[in-house]
Amino acid sequence: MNFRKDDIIAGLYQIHASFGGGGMGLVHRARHFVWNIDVAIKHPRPEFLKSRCQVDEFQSECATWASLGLDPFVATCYYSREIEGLPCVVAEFLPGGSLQDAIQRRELYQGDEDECLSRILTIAASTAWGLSRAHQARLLHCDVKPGNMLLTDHGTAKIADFGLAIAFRPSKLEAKAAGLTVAFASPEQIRAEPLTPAADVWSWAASMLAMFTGGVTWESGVACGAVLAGFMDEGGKAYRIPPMPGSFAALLGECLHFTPNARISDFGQIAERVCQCYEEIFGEPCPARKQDLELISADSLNNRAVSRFDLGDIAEVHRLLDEALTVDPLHPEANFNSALLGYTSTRKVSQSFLDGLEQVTQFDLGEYRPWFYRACLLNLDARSQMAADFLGKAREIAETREMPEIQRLWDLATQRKLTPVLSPPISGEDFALDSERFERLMSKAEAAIREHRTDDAKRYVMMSGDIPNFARHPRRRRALTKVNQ
Amino acid sequence: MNSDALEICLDKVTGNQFFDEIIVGRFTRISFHRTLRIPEDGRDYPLPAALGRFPIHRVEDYADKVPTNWLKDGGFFIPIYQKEALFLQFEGPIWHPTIAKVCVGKINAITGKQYSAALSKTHQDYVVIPHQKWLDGVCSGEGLVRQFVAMPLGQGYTIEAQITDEERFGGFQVVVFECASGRFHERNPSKDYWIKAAESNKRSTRLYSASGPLWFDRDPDVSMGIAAGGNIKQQIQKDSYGVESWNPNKMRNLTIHLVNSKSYKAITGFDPPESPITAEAYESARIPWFSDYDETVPAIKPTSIFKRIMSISVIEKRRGISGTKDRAQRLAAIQNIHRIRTPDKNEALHAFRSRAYESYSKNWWDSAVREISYVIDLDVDVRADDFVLRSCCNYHLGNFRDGSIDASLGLERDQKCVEALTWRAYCRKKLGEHEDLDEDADALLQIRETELIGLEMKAEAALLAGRYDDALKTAMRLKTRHPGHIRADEICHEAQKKLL
Repeated sequence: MNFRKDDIIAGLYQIHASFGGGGMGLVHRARHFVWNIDVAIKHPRPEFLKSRCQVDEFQSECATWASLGLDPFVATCYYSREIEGLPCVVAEFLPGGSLQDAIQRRELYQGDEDECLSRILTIAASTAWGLSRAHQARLLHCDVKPGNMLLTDHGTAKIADFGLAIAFRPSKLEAKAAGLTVAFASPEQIRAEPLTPAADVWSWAASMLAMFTGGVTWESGVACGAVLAGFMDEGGKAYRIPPMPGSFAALLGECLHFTPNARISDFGQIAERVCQCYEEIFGEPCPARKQDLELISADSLNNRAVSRFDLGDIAEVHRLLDEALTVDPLHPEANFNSALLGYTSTRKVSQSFLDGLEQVTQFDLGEYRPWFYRACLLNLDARSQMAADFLGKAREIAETREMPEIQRLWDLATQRKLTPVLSPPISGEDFALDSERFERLMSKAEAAIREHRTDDAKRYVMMSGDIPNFARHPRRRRALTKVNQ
Repeated sequence: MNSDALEICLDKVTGNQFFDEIIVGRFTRISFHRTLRIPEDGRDYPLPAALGRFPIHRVEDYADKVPTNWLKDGGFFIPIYQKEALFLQFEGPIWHPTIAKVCVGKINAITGKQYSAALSKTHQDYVVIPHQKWLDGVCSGEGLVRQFVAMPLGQGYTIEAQITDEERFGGFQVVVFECASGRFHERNPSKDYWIKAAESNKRSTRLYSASGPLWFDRDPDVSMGIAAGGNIKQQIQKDSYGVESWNPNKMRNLTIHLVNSKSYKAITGFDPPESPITAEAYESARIPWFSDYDETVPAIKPTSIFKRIMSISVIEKRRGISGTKDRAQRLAAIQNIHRIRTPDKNEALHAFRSRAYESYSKNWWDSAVREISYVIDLDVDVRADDFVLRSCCNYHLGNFRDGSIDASLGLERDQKCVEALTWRAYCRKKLGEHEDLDEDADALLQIRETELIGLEMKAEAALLAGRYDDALKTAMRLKTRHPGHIRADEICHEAQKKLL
């Protein structure tokens, strides 16, 4: 079965474009009708599917990827499902294309030397953080390469296609179409030995080398260590590409040890070293920094719940939403989704979720979503006047670009066709900078509260509320209560 | 004060009690202009017109009335209303450019980094005067700025607050640097196209008096800072001269405080200027807009810092302040855009090529590479000679790989280009690529004028390859053809030593 442009599949997605997804499969850009966002649908080439066991393994690998949830440096996997007999993974669509494309089209090298080097090192740090997250979750990638490093439209790099190479390892497929990409494969992968995190480290280093050489200049990944040494001997510089910094070359050297045990294998450590290298060169912190994922864990849980809803796994949806509300009782989408699910079974909107949403509006004055969700829920509850008032308030606050989405959802609400909603996606660099500023302001506010500098404390708390998505943060709520006392 | 510090004087507006521009050194003029606050609606607007200069006062003239913390730095102050927009105008002769760092609340308006009076060798954090005629805001995108809009300090709206969390300084800090000695003319040499272009670039300074009630809050605090307004299409031009063209020691710091209208009256006794124009009045009076896009000069790319600065209306929305859809957000379609003349590609090509050859003749290799790269990037009538020039400069800078590739690109354009062949051979020699060098040497030997270089390169290639016998023979041939050839002697000596 092949999907073609404009095909509507599973009554939920419309195919916009199809791309060759490498040896193992195909990738489609599709519109998710309900979520109203573009998603990437990936599936293996039908001719390579040999057994039910293979399909199950594919689904299991995707489930591990999906369990990573939201991460600024990992492309979100919503879920995997069988569509028209094919195991498909539905993942975040990243419009910036792959790093491979950016290298080939020379987009990576635009601008002056500094700008270009800053971009390359930021990508290096982002991808290392992304892989660090996966390894912490005990998930090996096994096919790290520029083609699996995707870029947002702002240029943030995210790692995609976790574990798919394992599901379709050479022993199960024709060798030619194996998930393995030879130019980035580690020596142990080439030898078909058992893999450890060190295999991903080798492939990551090979991908980083390709950014500085302007593409792959070697045939097998095994040669990367020698290529790096030769490249550095010749000055470490390719034509119109910034030279590879010495400290970065040293790091790659440690990642390209032939023996896996001798290789540096902790991606967290690697990412820290890249950030250090960035700071030494540019005198400022690398934009891709370590993330406090606590802040988005409720978002992650909510989105996983919404994904499970697509698959009809309602018990799991309830469990995940409850967990999201335990992490953040004022999470707007989790409150809304919980209320909506409750309504479908009882035909009543629970007041506790409406109260949760009302509380959000007290802390996050500039966010339209809690007002809008309350309007939708009250409309379901036939409290039309109040619903209209809250809708008006939401429209007053929302930006012009947000209006079409408000209208679309409101139309669904009036037709009683609403389904659970996703939390907005996050971008790695934005999130890093926002969370860093929030942390800084809260530390200052807490110090001012301790030292009874009320005016300063008020100002810091007020400014922390200017940061989108942080206004309702529990830490700010606590500080605000103290300041008001 | 540093002995190299530039002198400052003020130009007084005839018949008035204030000044309308600051003159730094002999040539550089800086003035502050009132303008329309453009809407913060996500659209990118052209340059709004200049609506009159702000009056400039010296702090020292009002020492008994200004806040005491101003007296330390001295400087100047200008009156401005809350939420009023402004831009800086820079003027100076094209044959004697200077540069200026512009900071708002001690945050660099180009990079978003903290104020520094030092010149950075790696990042351009300044504008080049007079190429940059105006600066309307902080650099937030490629060819985009976020408009300078005045806001009171202490409320967290200013750019300074958003970056440092504090609002200690406010106002503008400008540092002007003179050019390095010998880099530019001290008096007008002749008319060239840059001058013609500069003369024709007038942004309307039509003065518009707004009528009707004021809609700006009057804040009791004296000092104001700069917050971010809407998006304006404006290039911050890259410095095509290079940082080596400026004298890091010959500079002058200027502090320009912003005072609200009420405090202005209290300090100076003068009435503040009339309230700024509203968007509706601007539209109904059909005041023109301006476009100043120069396709021949690259624009500075923004740092991530300013991409994320929130505008006044976004902050007000985040704080749930009602009436955020204020007058700055009401503007219909933009019409009446005047395009300011900028050099066309051929003019720019001619100017950059001349500058590159001049830099080359003075052994300013860095400058020459940058300037000839502009010519090559313009991609109009690029010649083999342009690549040869870059190859030669890259050789002198020790960038042998780039030099070799440039020479090859020159040869792609003109296969008979002897200079390209010669520079490639020199670069390949440095890179130790003896096989390729041998090929180039053979090609050079085929040409009568380069026979000697061909022999030299042939000998070098043999030496690099460890064929000492060949190296000795070829070097001897070279010595016979050119007695006293120093390198031939050296090769003979080296080869003999190895053979022994």
